[in-house]
Amino acid sequence: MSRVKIGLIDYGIGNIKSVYSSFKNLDCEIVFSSNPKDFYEIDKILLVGVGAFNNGMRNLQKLGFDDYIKNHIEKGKHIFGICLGMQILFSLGYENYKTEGLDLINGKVVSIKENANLRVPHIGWNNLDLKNFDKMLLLKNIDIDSNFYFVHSFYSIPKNDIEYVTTTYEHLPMCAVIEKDEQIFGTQFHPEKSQNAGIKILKNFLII
Amino acid sequence: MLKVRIIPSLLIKGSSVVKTTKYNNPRIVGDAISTVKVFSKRLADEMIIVDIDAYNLNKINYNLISNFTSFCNMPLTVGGGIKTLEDAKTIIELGAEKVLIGSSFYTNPKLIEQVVKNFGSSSVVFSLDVALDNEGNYQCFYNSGKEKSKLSILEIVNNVTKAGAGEIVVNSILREGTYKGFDLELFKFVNDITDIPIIISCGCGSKEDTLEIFKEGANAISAGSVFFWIGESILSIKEYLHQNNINVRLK
Repeated sequence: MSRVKIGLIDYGIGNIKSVYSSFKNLDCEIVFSSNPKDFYEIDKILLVGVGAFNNGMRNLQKLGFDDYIKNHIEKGKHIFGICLGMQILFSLGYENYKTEGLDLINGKVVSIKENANLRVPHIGWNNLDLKNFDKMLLLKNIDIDSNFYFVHSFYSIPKNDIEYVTTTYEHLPMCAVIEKDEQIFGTQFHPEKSQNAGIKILKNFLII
Repeated sequence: MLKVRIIPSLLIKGSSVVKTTKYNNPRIVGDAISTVKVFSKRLADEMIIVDIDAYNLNKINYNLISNFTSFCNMPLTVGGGIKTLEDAKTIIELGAEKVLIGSSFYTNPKLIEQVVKNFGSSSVVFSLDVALDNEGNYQCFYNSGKEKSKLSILEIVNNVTKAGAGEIVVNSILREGTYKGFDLELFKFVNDITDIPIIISCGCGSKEDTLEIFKEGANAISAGSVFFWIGESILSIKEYLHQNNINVRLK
């Protein structure tokens, strides 16, 4: 069997190198490019990033990745969004100004500060809540009390048509892991920075 | 629930890790790469690595940084000698999560805002060096404590807050490397004037010191010497905090 081929999208937003290094150590082939044309016969897309929703979306469009991703999904292939990459999978973002996202997941991305009046960013290590934990393919064989590294000031609110796992910041449960149709995946935290449990998530994505 | 963070801070000189006292007398503790490797296998929640010569030598050791990021699977903050957006960009592209900006804030006040605009608030940590003067007022310093800022601590914190810095490391210069415990007053002072998460640094000499500052409401500490010279490990500190009902990450 040939190795899984991953396409890591370089859309000029934040730290992508560490994800690249993490996957380099796993059993897969990885293509890292800002040109959709380099993404030949890609099995799985990785959309990573830190920064603002509107900038991220604008860069994706400029490079022609919005259409590429939609096409990839229509073919029934997988995508994994990490941090901002997960947020962009949603319909709408409110960072800086209202921006349409990729709309692969129904819902919106809003400010933690404005909606819950909490200190931002939500930064550091947090565990995940119990609900739906065992339903997630990404979380297979992961201890329930594992912690993951978060850093974000906006959070995603999925519509009710989808199951997801939350993390709780003070009193606010926020979407932390999401899966749709065993095809679209996302984590708000950074698995590539979350030591052993994080690496396990990346491996889980490879074998889905 | 969000855990408190224990962040080892490693000072680099050449290819060695050094320990200083009140920002002076660097003594070699070990080899930089092997020390960072050891810490990245432990339960450190993040790591801060600062090259103490880079600012004056005008030279950032990108090779060394790239070596660190290749094996470090936890968030890494890199500082020392970052003077321009280009410097910050190179470090972030090498795989560091965050850049630490200290002295350059005073000489290039636009820098923080520029990096924030390009990489987001979460990529910028401001390093605030503070000491009490004879009148009991806080004075802020830069260039390893050698130069005194004309700005008040309040102005500085307000400026970096406005510029969008994501975190502030608060260093109490006179406690650095002394094991006298964290500067509680300074922590409370800065914590009251900004909403930005604070990493309190300098003076940690025992696990009791960490408990004391977390009880005061800190959510992140940074320490160096205590790991090298006192023999506490990150795990021993975390287990002690856990027994005392502080939320720490044990896995």
